[in-house]
Amino acid sequence: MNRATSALMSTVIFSGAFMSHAGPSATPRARVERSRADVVALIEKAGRSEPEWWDSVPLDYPKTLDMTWTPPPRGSGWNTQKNIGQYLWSVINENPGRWKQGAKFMHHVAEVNKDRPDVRRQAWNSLGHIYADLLQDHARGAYWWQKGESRNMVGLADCYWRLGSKEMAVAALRHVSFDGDRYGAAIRLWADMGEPRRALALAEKTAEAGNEAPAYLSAGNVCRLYGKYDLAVEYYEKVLAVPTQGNRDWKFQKDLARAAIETIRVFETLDLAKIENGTYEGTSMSFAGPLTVSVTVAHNRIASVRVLRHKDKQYYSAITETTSKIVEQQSLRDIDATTGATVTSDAIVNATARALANAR
Amino acid sequence: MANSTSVNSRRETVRQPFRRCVQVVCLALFVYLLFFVCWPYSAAPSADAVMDMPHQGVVPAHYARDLARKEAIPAEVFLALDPLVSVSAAIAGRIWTGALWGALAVGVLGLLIPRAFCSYICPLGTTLDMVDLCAAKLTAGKRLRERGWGSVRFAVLVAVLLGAVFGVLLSGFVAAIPVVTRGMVFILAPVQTGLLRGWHNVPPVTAGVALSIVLFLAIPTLGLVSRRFWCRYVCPSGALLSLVNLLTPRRRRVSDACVACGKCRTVCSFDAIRDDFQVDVAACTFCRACEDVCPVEAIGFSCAEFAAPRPRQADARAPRVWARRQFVGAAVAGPCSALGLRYGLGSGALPLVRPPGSLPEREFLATCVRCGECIRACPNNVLHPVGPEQGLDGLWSPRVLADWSGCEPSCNNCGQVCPTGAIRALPLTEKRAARMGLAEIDKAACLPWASGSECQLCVDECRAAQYNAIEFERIGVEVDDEGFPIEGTGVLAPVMVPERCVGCGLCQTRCYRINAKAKRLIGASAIKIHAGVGCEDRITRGSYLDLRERERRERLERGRELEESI
Repeated sequence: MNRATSALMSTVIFSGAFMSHAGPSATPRARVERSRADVVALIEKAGRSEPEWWDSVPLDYPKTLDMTWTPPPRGSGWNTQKNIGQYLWSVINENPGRWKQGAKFMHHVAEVNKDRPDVRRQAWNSLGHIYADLLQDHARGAYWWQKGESRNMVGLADCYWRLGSKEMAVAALRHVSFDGDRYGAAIRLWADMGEPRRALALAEKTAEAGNEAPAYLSAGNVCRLYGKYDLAVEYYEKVLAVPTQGNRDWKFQKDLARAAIETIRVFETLDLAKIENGTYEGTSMSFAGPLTVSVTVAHNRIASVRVLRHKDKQYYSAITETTSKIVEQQSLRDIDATTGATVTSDAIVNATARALANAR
Repeated sequence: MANSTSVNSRRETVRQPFRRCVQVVCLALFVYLLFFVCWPYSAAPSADAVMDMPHQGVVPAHYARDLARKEAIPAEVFLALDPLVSVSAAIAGRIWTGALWGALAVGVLGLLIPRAFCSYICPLGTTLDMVDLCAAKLTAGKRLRERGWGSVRFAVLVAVLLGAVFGVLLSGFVAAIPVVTRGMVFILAPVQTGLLRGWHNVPPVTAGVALSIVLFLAIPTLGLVSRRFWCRYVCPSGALLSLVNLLTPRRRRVSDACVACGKCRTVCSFDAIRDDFQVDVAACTFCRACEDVCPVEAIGFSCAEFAAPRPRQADARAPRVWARRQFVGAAVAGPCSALGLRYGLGSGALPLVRPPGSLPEREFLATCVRCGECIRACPNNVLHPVGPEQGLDGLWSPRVLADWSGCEPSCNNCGQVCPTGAIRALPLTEKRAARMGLAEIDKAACLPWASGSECQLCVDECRAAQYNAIEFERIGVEVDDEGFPIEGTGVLAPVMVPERCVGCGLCQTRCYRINAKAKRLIGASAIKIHAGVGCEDRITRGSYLDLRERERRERLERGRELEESI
């Protein structure tokens, strides 16, 4: 995570950048085009109204929290029952069942601190994160980020794009000249919007600025998304060549790159006709740890793909969607292009490839 | 008398086809209900066996559906027919129980055929008859000669009823059907489980179980002293039915044709024929074996006088029913044992986790007949009998042992088979809302909390059961120079959400089985279910769902007050 920008943002927004990348993998993108005026109106209307669940969720939070949201003194340790930012990070973010309550709480924090503009702005930005990244309510997310004058341009651009305005998304994303996200959220968004060239340009720029491993990994994913496998492999190999910098060994990115290369190689040689009937297991890295699938092959067909073990929590639907697409299309190559190269669904494709590679 | 014994016993078996058939059918039905209907493992999850649960979504219901499907006849029907079970439970618990209808039915039947329950229906009686047939040579004609033995059972009955008046239920220890049910549940059910599901699934034999088995085996063993020893001298359920005998005009009559051959006295299993060959009304069960063996057809069973009674001997002693000494003894023993159990011998140890939907503890102990039916119907043996080490007041009553197994979320069997309503027959939606305890995390033992290692067994288990009562908190987060958390640092540790916890104990089972038993990382489960005040809500009537809904509205109201307070 980039320290220079993080200093300007609240802790919560940061986990937002992390999640805004992973979130979309779950939902298939049935996207509606809207004009700028429509999107602006949509954001305004949603932002000024209460969500429909508002009255059914109680305002509830630890009474020990310091409601003035005073930054804890350096070295004071981690206390989730006292510091609001730490409570959000450790309790709200980690529990989907608490997300709505978290939004309600943040509204309350903004209200309590209405005479302290800095804290209020921080609460509004946190609302942007909770609505957009957690609750996938992009209109309200955009509203509160705008209101909090957020610098999370990637998050805002993602909201605009999902709400239907590529024009607004591009305008916001143009401000991003460096992708500080661990998973290359901005690079990924350019690719999603049908702008692979701009995606790769941002990746190169980011790599030049020093964030090589995540940038090249994202560039590889962009190429893979557009079916340019040779170029993708070149980028992934660049990830593997990045030297260790201080205490950063880029292990996570290198594991993902290695798995991606392996999967692409299996694509080229995969011949279901040569695989005997049976059930095979394969494991690949995902967000939070290894993900294992069990692939059953019967009569030269992939009969089923089942995720046996994984540690990813909030994005389960990738797990059923990706597996059923593999069975539906009897191929890994097409999945790659349709589901998109997001971490969880990538891990499923990679693990399946490994399982089939083992089978031969 | 002695040389005609074997002939008569054999004739008895041959010549009572109807009674023997009814007995065999009843015993078979009893065994079928206990070992097939109450065998929970015929249930399997399916897309059809689901239901809507408020605030929890669609949840599986296969165990509940499976029992309902198999229960064309209620599994606990024999317990409901034992008149003492319902009468004593109703008195002790000061409640109405549906099983009273069963008692009434048996009472009415008793007016038509006195003590038909004992000679036709009671599976314990049939079992003892079988034992007696096997041991016929040993026992024929034997009886305890000392005066007054026949009234011991009345003393037991008086003790039970007086105990009930004082709010303590003693019938479970001595009433016929609870005794035989418990015997089968503790002796044969583990064999069934072991053979069909593997011996590792059989809970270990505890002191309480062993005690129950020894006492149960004593019953047929006493049969070597005399036939139907238990029924003649001990059984208070039979004693209660004997009182009904006194109300009915139907009884055994002996005509002048009697030649005093004594065959009837030899054949009678119940010692119901006096020295003058007249009937001891309270003891006669209308089995009519004497009628069968009478060589001169002098015996009849009717309302009208068969013939003028003709005493053979001048036997003017008072009916043996109320032997004064025993009555006085019982009148003292009943309340004393009742009060002793309640205030003295009760251990008062940690509150036990009771089955979901159990009545409040005092009412529960006053209505639970310790029959073991719930223990039988419980999948994975979540319920275990309380042993004597917990105090005698709870002996053999069911408790949840979550180290062994957690309460299956799709099951409400225990309440459905409870004969007295000590465990309420809750619908599955209610059962899922009924709180039997609260889980508590021991942060000094819990792996993430104590050592920062990853473990989410309890959270996964709770989520799979759709209670979602255990959440995560990321602990041990590292911060950078500006005080911002560093992505990916720290571990997720479990935190309780008490308002959603029902105390099923699934979390405890997982933690104990894997972390403590298999991996030996900790000595005991780091998450445990606690019962008692504030941890459980046990209501005599009314809806648990309503209770949860009320709590939810209160939380909303408190939230609104908080919002408006600024």
